[in-house]
Amino acid sequence: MRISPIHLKIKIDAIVLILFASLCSCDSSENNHQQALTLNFDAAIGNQRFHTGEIFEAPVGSGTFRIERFKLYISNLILTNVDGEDYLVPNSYHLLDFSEPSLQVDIPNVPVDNYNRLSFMIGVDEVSNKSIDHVGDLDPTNDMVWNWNVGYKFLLLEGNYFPSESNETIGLVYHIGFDENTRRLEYEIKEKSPSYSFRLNVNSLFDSQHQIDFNELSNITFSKADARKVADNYSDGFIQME
Amino acid sequence: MQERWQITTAMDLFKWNRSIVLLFLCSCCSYKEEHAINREYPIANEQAAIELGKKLFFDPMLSANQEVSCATCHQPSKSFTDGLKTTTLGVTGKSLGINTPTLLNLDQSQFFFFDGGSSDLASTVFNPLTHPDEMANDMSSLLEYLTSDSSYHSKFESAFNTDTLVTSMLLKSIARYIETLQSSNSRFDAYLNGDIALLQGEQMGWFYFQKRSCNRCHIPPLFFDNKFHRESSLTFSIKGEFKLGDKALGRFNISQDTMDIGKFKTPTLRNLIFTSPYMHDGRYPSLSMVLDNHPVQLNEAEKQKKMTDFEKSVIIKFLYSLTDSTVLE
Repeated sequence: MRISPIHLKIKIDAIVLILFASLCSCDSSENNHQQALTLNFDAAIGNQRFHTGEIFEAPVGSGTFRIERFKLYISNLILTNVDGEDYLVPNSYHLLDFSEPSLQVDIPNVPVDNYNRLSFMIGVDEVSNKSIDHVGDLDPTNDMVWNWNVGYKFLLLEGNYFPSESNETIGLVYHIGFDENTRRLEYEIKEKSPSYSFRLNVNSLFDSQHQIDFNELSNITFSKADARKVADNYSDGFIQME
Repeated sequence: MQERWQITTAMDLFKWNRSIVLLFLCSCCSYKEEHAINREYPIANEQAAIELGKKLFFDPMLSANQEVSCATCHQPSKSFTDGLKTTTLGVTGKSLGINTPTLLNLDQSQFFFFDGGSSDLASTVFNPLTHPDEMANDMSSLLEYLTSDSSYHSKFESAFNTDTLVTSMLLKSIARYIETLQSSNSRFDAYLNGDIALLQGEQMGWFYFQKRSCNRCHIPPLFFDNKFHRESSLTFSIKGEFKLGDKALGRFNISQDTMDIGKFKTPTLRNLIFTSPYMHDGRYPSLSMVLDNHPVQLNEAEKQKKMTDFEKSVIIKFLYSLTDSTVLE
């Protein structure tokens, strides 16, 4: 039987529509295809729970220290399913401000899938880091942008160091940014869950791939070489999934 | 008569539909590769944003002591400079260590600040608003002020078509106003357009300006090149102690490449008659001194030959032909 062009067109149009509908359904807002995901973050210093204003043993060398402000960005959250397909969470920029030791990040409308990996970036990707006129967690009001060089501080830690051998107080200022210092952290999802918990060990920032002694390096704001040391450290055991 | 878009064969139909499917699939894939950027609150009305930006630019209430506006240092009558060697007009009165640059034709600039620390004009605005020695404000206080001042409400609403106010709007509006500061009405522009002839001295100055290779970095018609150059013939020692952040290090502060020590963004030469003193630190009060000491892009033969007083005088005449008073209004 000869199929007329007009019949063939109708059939192929139908196939296109079905394909279109099935693709759209990936991002459908129907609740049974999507779920909320919660990420919990707890900060610690060694085995102790972190609190701003409290005094802890210095991670490297002697003396004690106190943190007044500790904030960092995580961004570009990706969930990967068992077939290796990625779901990049849209507008995924989250400021973790540890003025409290526990934080919660809510990710709405995640397509239901069989995910077995989760990853996020510490810092802000190169594209978004080129300007600061963004909104939400990237709004400059959050005091996480430089004013000498356009871009975001990916991690901010400020406080004081008290050397054991003197009564001196040394200010601690670590503002880590620059495109090259983003680091992607990846975690295996062993069990399907609507929430995952992470533990940050502040000491890892100073005592990991590189040892940073407060006595020797108490201020990292401009130097890219020094900032890279902290970035290397936050890529290595700083945030662990519990 | 055959219709223009008539599909005549089954194969045509297949190809046509397949293209749509492929296009759709490609758009889905590219979505996943994109970085997610917040693009909320775009400008809805350009003219309203410019008017809002102008009001903000001249508003001293934007500073911590409510006395310093953007226009305090970027004065229209001085082609948006302040006439000082290094500016001290911020809230603390401390020297910023740099000469206030003009704001002309910044829509054509790829970099901002003398060291190019910014490549986005709206983001650049954040620096003077918050710098402790400039306007010393914080964004939360600024938003509080703008929210409480009713004269701003309708202006923000017209520009952004929303009653929400976020930092991004403030930065974008001021940037839009700055982008309107266009200079293209100098005598030299008229000469380039074929409308007038340069005076004899200006014409000779234009000749020597090119012969002395000034135009390699100060490229007409903008008279900048969006690059960084060592602006002084003085050699800058990298052996001594230097501290990152020292203004004299120039581009090095940003790139941290030792080849960039002492390099600065090429400034425009437009309206030089209004913008003395010159260089990033305002070290030269006159154009004659600049020409006596300016290094740089000379060929080997030219390097041996000091610029004569005659050459200097006609080059300065040419530079004055770049004067454009219309932008000061």
